[in-house]
Amino acid sequence: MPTCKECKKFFPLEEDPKKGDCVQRVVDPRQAFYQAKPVEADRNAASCPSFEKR
Amino acid sequence: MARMSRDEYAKASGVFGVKPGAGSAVEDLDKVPERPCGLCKHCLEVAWSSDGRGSCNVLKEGSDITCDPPVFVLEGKNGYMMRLLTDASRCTYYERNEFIDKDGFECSDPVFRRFIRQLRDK
Amino acid sequence: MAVTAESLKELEKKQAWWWIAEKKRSRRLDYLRKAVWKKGAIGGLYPAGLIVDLERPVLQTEKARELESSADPYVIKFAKILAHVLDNKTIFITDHSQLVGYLGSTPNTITWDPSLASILNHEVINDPQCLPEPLDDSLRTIKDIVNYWAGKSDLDKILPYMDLDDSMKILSGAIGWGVPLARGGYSGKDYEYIMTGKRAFEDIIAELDRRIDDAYAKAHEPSASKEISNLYDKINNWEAMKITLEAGIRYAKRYARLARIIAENFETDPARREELLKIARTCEHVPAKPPRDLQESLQYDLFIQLFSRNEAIEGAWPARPDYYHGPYYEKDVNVDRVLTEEEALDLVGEFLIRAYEVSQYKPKWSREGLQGIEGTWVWTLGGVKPDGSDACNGMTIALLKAARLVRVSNPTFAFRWHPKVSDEVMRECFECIRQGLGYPSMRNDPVLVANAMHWHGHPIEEARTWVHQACMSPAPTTKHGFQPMRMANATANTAKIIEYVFTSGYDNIVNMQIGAETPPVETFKSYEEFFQAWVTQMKHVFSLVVRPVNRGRMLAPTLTPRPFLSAVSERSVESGLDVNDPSISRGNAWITAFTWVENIDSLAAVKKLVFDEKKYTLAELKEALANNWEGREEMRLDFVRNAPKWGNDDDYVDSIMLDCLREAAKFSRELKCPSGNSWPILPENVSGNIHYANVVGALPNGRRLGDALYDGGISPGPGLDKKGPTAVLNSCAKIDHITHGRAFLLNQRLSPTQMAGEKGYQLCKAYMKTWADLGIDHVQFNCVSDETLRAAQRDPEKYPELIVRVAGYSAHFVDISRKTQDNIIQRTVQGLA
Repeated sequence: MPTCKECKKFFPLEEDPKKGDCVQRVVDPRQAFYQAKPVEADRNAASCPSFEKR
Repeated sequence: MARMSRDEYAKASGVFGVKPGAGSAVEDLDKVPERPCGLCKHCLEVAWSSDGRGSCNVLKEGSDITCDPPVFVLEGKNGYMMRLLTDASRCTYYERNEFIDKDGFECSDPVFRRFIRQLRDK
Repeated sequence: MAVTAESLKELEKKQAWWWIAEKKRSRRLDYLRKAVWKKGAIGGLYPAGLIVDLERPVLQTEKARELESSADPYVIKFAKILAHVLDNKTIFITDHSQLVGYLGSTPNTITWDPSLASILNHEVINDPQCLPEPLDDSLRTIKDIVNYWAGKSDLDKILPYMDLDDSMKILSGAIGWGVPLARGGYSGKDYEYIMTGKRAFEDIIAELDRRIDDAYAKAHEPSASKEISNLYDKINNWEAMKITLEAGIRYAKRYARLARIIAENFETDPARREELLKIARTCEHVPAKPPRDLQESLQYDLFIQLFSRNEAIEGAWPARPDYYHGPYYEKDVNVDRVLTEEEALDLVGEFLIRAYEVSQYKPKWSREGLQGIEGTWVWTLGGVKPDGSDACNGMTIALLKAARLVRVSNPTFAFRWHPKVSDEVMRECFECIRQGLGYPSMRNDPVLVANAMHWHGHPIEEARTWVHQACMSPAPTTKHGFQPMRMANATANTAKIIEYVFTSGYDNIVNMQIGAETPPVETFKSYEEFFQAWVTQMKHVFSLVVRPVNRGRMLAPTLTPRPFLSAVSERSVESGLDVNDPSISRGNAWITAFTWVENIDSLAAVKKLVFDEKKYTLAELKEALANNWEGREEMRLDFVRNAPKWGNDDDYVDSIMLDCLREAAKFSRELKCPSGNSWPILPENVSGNIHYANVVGALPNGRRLGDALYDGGISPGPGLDKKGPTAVLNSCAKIDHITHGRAFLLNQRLSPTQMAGEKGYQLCKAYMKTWADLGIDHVQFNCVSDETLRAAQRDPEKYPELIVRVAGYSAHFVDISRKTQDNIIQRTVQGLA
């Protein structure tokens, strides 16, 4: 089972590596941006369409 | 209306929306009966919001079209409060409205406009 | 087309200001301006492409469920829910941006706070336009949220303590415009406490810690008293304030971290990398510590505004950005010279764009009443300092220049004119008006400072700090002077006053007895008797909108507290009381009087045609109005054409305006807010004149049900001011702008051709001098030709950026309904001599 921490887009918190941010590049019809969403390192990423193995 | 108890008043006006513990009440907000009040020409959506409240231009306070047999009160001052999705199948005063504007981009007209999603394509 | 002086001149000749702006602004501003998702509702619905953000309500609901069995008092639970949202929401940084922070999880989202009102939640369920796909999944989530908050939302909590009769009348939408909720309205802020660079969040947290420690020690001394009992509540309030401030600091640091991650892992352009690192340094510093430069100052302000909007739906944005950011602008641009003027303009322009994109899901009355915009972000510029000296600075000019480059319809500016304003600043204001922005509106500062002292007893130094709390009303930014919440429902649809005189208070539109049961109109034997019925209805309607607000304000500290707003308010940090507690506020209430002039023209028509000339009886008129003038077109035209109309310097009708205002002003002193202060009236409209078109019945000024109402304030009816601009000003000058009410909106249209060049400026200057000398408190201009407006109606896609002044705010012309567009075109274009 792949987990978030194995993904290229996962950036762990220095003070607590069990948590981190999923950082993704998004391009919508008007603008481009980077977004960050807090995630747990051990979260199941099996169904995540954005998962990219580190 | 002030003569009602606060609870009766609140229920009649629908001002509190759906109360907790009402079971499938929230689900009901998506059920469109065959003859919803919102498609009747006597229905006036409140000018305040699109939360689904309205009042009847014909029936007065004290009416109840949801019970069997229905109660029709035609005399009195204040209009009968109902919801746009109230089932009016028992209402003998029901007259289906012809809508002239359903796109919602003009301003409100309580007589002709109900731009709630559930009645969008009706 | 290459940007040449010739091409710009050509565009200027065509008054194609939006294309000029596009060519003049920097690449960064051009990207950011085009990148922004416009949030204002078009007519009554949100534009295509926007979606309701479900992330926040899910986070809110999950935390609320978790805390249900917690021993925390409500105020602390509320603060923890807010902190949970800030800690866990998705954040983003847009390419090229230097300022960060948004309410939603992605740029095209409208945030929804389900804890405010169940009836608002039902609007979300019913929304035909912007629920995210797949719809079934969204509806499942929305229904779970709606079900959870049913009975727990603020409105559900306060209604059992309100007068239900009054509440139902308000919620019918016929006379009022809002709900009496402390977390929904216009929040003033104590900028003198939080924006002067003397302190920031860490300083306040240290102060709160000291107060909590002291109170805790005092509460456990060998004693007992009411004061000691009160300390327990105060400790809870202080704890809640601290939770929100700490969450704010963490939220900013999340942006700092994201900026560093992008700089170190993704960004390849060294210049952009450096900008991202600057964003990181900025967000590590503010709001924890006071800002050190312009970027930090703007970012700090933006964070405060966003936190406050995470806590409440704020329909306005009271601000004075030149006054509070000016020192940082001067330092960076003129003293340290670390920013060029162009670089500073990039920051200032982006600051406007960041405000423009803010959005919160609002009910229908708000979407329709504020067509094309999200809320009345009327920012205050100019004015004087507390010592009376000119407050304009480099930032004033930068903001006016930036507005012309980014041409957002929201925020708009209102300029506090006073005799010491420099010609350079006035020319910048004029340039914005000439270029069709519709702003700044011009405010007469000496008159309004005196007005603030007259109505609410603000000391002169505090009165001089005033900002627009919403479109029009001045409010100081001081410890006791600022008003934390002005609930929108103290807004009266006053055309109902004259309508109710004819129906004995029964509202035929919403089927309710709303007004006073005055005697049948046909029984009145004299105009005086008729006018007294008007006075009775006026008192009834004003009381009806004020009582729920007073009650809501009194219930707010316990039932609907605002720990974040309290945390940035000196009086709450000092006292431990919620910011809405009336005992620590001087009071700055006002009643917004929508659709006011209809009363004046109607009274004049009745006086002349019924009582003076006896052409018709009141019974006949009552019947004609009840039948919406059907079959009586000739009679209707008599009432339109042969009755005097306000705005023509005609004492017959102008004296009726004064009679009405004097009666209202007298009653304003009898109506008291919970702080014990007065409720003066403030005639203005936003786009309520269109929203209410189908809510107000036929009137004696010849109006039919469904016709657009006048555009508001003390503006004459469109096309009815036939005697030129001086006559309009003369009529308006008969009003005492200090004692008759809190402020009076005046719309005027000017010819863009006449405004061209130096001659145009001199004409405008002469007009402004007359306006100021006459002591009129407000005027705002539309300066777009009929030709352009009609062309935009024909080809809206060619004019996406055309801005017009609606009333109290500006909007893109293509975003307002056809009825509103027509109403603006109908306004008389005043030729200045």
